[in-house]
Amino acid sequence: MKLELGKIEIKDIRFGDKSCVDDHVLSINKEEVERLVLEDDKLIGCHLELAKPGEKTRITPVKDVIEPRVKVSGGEIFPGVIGKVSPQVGSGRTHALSGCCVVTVGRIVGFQEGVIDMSGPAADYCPFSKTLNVCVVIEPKEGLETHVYERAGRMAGLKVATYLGELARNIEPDTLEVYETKPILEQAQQYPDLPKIGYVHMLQSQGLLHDTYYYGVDAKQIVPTFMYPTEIMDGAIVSGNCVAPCDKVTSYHHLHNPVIEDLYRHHGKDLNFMGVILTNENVFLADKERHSDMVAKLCQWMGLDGVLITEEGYGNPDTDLMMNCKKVERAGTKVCLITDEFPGKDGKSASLADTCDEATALASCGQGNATLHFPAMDKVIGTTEYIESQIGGWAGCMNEDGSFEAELQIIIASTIANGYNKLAAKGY
Amino acid sequence: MYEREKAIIITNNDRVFEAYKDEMQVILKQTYEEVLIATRDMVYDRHILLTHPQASSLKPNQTPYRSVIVYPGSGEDAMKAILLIEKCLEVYRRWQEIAPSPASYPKKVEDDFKTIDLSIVQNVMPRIV
Repeated sequence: MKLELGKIEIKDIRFGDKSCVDDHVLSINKEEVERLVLEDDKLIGCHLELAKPGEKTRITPVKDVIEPRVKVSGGEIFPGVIGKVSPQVGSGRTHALSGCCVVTVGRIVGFQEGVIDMSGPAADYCPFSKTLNVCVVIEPKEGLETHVYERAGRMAGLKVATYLGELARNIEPDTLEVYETKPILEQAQQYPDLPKIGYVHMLQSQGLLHDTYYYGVDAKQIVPTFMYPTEIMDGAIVSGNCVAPCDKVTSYHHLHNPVIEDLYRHHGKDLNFMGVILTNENVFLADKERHSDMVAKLCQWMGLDGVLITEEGYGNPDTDLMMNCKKVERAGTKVCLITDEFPGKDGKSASLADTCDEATALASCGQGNATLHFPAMDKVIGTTEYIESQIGGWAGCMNEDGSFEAELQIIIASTIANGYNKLAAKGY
Repeated sequence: MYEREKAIIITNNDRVFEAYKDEMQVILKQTYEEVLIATRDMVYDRHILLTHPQASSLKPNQTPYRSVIVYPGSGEDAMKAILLIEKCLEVYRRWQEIAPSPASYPKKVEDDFKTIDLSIVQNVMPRIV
């Protein structure tokens, strides 16, 4: 599969009479977008707000972040969720509005949504403090079941991102990147002397509000499978979960998976990037055993010399991570794990909830228990009413002036376990 | 592979108890820690784990509710279960040292936690066949 990814740099966003992109400025017809969101009768309120880097603005509770993209050719964006499932995505041409994001805001459940600060100390920890954000603040109908509201929130963000992405269809991109992965035998032939490297991508899939969607299929229903990396760049995977903010893989992170981007950077130079093995994170232990066996089988079948493995979440997924590591290593493929850590405030406790002897190489994305002071902001998009109940906060952490103390866990993607952040651990 | 009637749920979530008490054995405990301890005791007494005792990725001090499903069994799976539940107890205690679980939650938040915990059990039940 070969994908051309055209990026249109967005330098400013504003509200206007007509939605369009003109000279790197995104104008949005606010009423039109709000009407689009409110077509869903599960939502009774929606308003758009804009947040820009450097502003004294706090956005919370944040559910998802999405980059607007459009398929110019070769299928439709977010297949199975917004676009048609067929043809498959991952080839043809895609345009992206680079530097701007759709952020869905609103209380989904009482504890798992995070914070984005557009300036101040917390901004250093969040990639979305540096993007121009179109915030979609939603309010549900009274009495909705949590999962019905989660779906409405998820769809609202994806619909707005698709609407804005459509504006990029006929614009000449500033940059055009080309990514290609060939069918397995041809790919192995292309760089026969380079080590064959794969990526084992573990999707959060533990249950209600802990789900991810693959071509619209709930990931807990899948068995491990092969994916071309470019399919993921076209929105074949979207987030539907509300795990701890710090290690949440938003839909933006799926589009911009740093493991995939970095492996492509090295592709043909010092390694041969063979593709992605997609798997999930299970509650039922027999599923864990079966799926880690299948991951190891796929690694062996693809003739991989090495894999990188990422997870989403903490606790139960650590067991999937270690089972994958153990079985893949024993089947003859070298493993490097990528994850974040929760070793207590002083960093001295065990970092993960599980481990295995084969886990000898690990890249750390930082630790979520460290605490930070969040100064008061001039403007809040959403509400800070729930800060004390949100993950990373605690009873009494909020001060009267709107400032608060909290663990890094409360910041969206601060320690994201695929490395789309700046934190790391170094050995001395 | 499994028979639903032989599986046992250990929980401190009254909504899980109410949902399954008529079709299988459900042991209702008061606290998260009591669920883990009761699970450990079952695992040492010829039971294996069917579900991971830390399902949901909520850290052990971030949810008051926990449900675990065990099943009669022995051998290699029982050994794995012992190692896993002991590890989970250790991790639970470590998180209590980092920050103890809140003494109480607002009603709405508590209900959300019960819903999440119940959904995990509901999602697993069709697998026990």
